Amino acid sequence: MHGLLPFAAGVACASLLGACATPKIESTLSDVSERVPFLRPGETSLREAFDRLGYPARRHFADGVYVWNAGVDQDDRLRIIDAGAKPFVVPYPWSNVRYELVLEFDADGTYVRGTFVHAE
Amino acid sequence: MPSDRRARATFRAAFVATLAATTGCLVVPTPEHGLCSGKGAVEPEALDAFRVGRTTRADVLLRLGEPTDRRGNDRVFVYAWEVARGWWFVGGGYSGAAGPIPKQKYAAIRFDDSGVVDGVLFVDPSWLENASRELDAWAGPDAPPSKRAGGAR
Repeated sequence: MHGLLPFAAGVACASLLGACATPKIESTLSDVSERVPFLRPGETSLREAFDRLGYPARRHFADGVYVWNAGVDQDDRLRIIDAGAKPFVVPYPWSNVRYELVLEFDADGTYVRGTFVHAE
Repeated sequence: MPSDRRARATFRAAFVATLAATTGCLVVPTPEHGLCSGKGAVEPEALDAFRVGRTTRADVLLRLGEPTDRRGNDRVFVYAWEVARGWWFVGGGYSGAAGPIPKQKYAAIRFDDSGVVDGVLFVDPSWLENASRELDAWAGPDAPPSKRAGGAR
């Protein structure tokens, strides 16, 4: 009978797990100005963003979009976690909350808008 | 020694019967849940928000972040993720193992030459359907990115 118990437990676990929701990709606009205060639409340049955040993980030159990988540490402070991040932005430690910081710049290299996209 | 042989046969039969009764595998289908791989699910409603002929590639990146796959010189963004649609269990004696049965899902966004949304596709295959085949048919071949100066890298 002992072999049947794991199966019974398995069915129970599967039923419980089946009730767990799938995390969705979510993005937020408002957080960016709060967490990255130096970013000001129409003012901040791409050079300044590079200087402050380090080199981005992904670059979409044609669309003026740059993506940094970011995390939030235990004190709820933003940390850029890309390799090559600037020294003052400590790469670690960061909690399991992970984001993509997506910033759009216009053709002149001036910041337009940005979002945090929550990534599992 | 017929009695010895009979005892041995009885022992073997009992051993096999015990093994059969306490060993086996089990598949438990469940509602789709969890995230086996990928950075999150893209809901069909999120795709509905993208307007053909109006939404730009930058809008999509700002909303969904970096895609899992980019095809044809950024003409198609693919967001892929896996959910669990059931669990398998294998047990024998006092030991056992278990794992999720994954199901791959895709959301794809196609852009025209000016970087504006041209079409969206949500692939949620049933058990026997091949999701990647449907995606390939819609998105076209995975062309290498061109070397034009303005292209994404």
